[in-house]
Amino acid sequence: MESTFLMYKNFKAVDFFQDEVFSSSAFSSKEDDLLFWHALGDTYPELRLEMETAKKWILLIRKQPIREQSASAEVIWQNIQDKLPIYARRQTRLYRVQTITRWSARIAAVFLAVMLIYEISHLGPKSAKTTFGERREVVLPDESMIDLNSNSKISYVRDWKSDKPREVWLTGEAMFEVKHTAILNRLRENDRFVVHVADLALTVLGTKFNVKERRGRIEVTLFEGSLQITGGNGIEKLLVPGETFVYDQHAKTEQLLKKDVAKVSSWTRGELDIEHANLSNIVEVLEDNYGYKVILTDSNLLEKRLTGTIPVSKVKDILFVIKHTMDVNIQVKDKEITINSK
Amino acid sequence: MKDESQWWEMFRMGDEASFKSIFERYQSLLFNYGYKFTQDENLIDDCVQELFVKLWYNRENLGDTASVKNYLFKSFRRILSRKLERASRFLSLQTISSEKLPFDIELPSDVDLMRKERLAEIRQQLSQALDKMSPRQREIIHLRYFEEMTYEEIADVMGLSIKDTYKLFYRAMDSLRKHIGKINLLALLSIVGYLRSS
Repeated sequence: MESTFLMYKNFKAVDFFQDEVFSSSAFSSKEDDLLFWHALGDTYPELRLEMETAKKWILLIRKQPIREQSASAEVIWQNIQDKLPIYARRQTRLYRVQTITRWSARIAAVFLAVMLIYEISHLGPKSAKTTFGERREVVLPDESMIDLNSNSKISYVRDWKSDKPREVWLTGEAMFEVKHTAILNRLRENDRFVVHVADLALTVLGTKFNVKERRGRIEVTLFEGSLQITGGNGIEKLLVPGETFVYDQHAKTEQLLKKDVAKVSSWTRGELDIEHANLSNIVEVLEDNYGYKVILTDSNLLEKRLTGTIPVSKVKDILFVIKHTMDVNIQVKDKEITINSK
Repeated sequence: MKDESQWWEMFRMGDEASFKSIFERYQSLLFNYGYKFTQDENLIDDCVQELFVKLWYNRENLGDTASVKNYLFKSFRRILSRKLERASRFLSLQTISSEKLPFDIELPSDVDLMRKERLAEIRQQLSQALDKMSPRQREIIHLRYFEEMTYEEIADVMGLSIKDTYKLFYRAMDSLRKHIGKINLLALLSIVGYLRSS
């Protein structure tokens, strides 16, 4: 013990501070450790002050105020979790670049060129069109279904982004079955589906509806869900199922009707379901959907009414029905139909 | 610490709960250490975040570690010094090398503590002596006495060889010796001056 004491005989505060044994045991809770320094102080009283000073230095450094972030650990943890996927992407990209060898780079270049050509050829608007007498089913990129009636056209931008609504432009008549993509409590821009027809915009989330645009007259019939109409002349309407909104683009008039939805959708089954309809309704079908020009020699014929379901898949069938139920004479020459009263 | 090495092992296997436990144990210690280098709290938070994000993605490449604390301090220090160097490049034309990054030891100023332990005067002396030291000398003192790290651990955290770590520490002690001595001498001279004038 004495020889160990001797070692400390000429120590100053800094030497004690520096001494590994002192600095690790001066604050020890073990009595043996403390006893040693007490004994040393008893042997060399002049060392007491030096030891006391060194101890105070250590104490001061240990008692430095603790700094804590203002954001809670929860927030920082959340930030870390949010960043994990981003970091993963960056890491894999780096990794990919590093491991590309010369030949794989070449393959990649060829592949890239093919992809680029493919992308460019598919960019921009895409459209589906039907000619007279043709009906077609169109599946959109989001798996929404569209039944396109004759002489109609639908166009859309191929690449639907998540920050923009799904948009299509329509001329003619079409039945929409829009896929619902919104999840509870989360509505993104592309959960909206917008049909532009004439100067109207029809906005839905996911529903079934029919849009007919002929001769400047737009008819929107809602089957399910809800549908918002905005546009021309400051129109703002919310349709409920079973309602038909009729808008005349030229006269700027609007009308709300109740229609039998089964009748509105009858065309998708290749039929024309009419009740108390005039011959004029059928004339419209012949002209709009089949591209014929219809001449009525007697204007009174327009007021002739009939009720029932007419098959409209073939012009021949339509004419057969008219001829026998309305008791008229019909002549067909090229694309011209002449109807005479008997 | 037994549970800590278990956490580490589980975390390396992709266990998120262990990862979170490591985060919870060390995030405030790391922040406190970071505050010695800079008072920019957002920057320190960013470094803590970056550290743990990196840790998660590199977990499969991480080895056993004798001390999780040491590993985290070392990685954190590297991220922080790189960020501070970059920040200094934006502020001025010259770059602060990691050698010259500031480091402050903030001695307590708690009045009760000062009175009870009769620390005020000693605090003043120590504070002045610390100011005379280089930032790296202050840092080694902090790691040695506050974090209670061994020389091996300090060498690892600061990225120095063991030999250089010892050298740095001895130089810090020399500086302390020199300036404490001077202060005492000054105190003595002022007393002498006081006696003479009276």
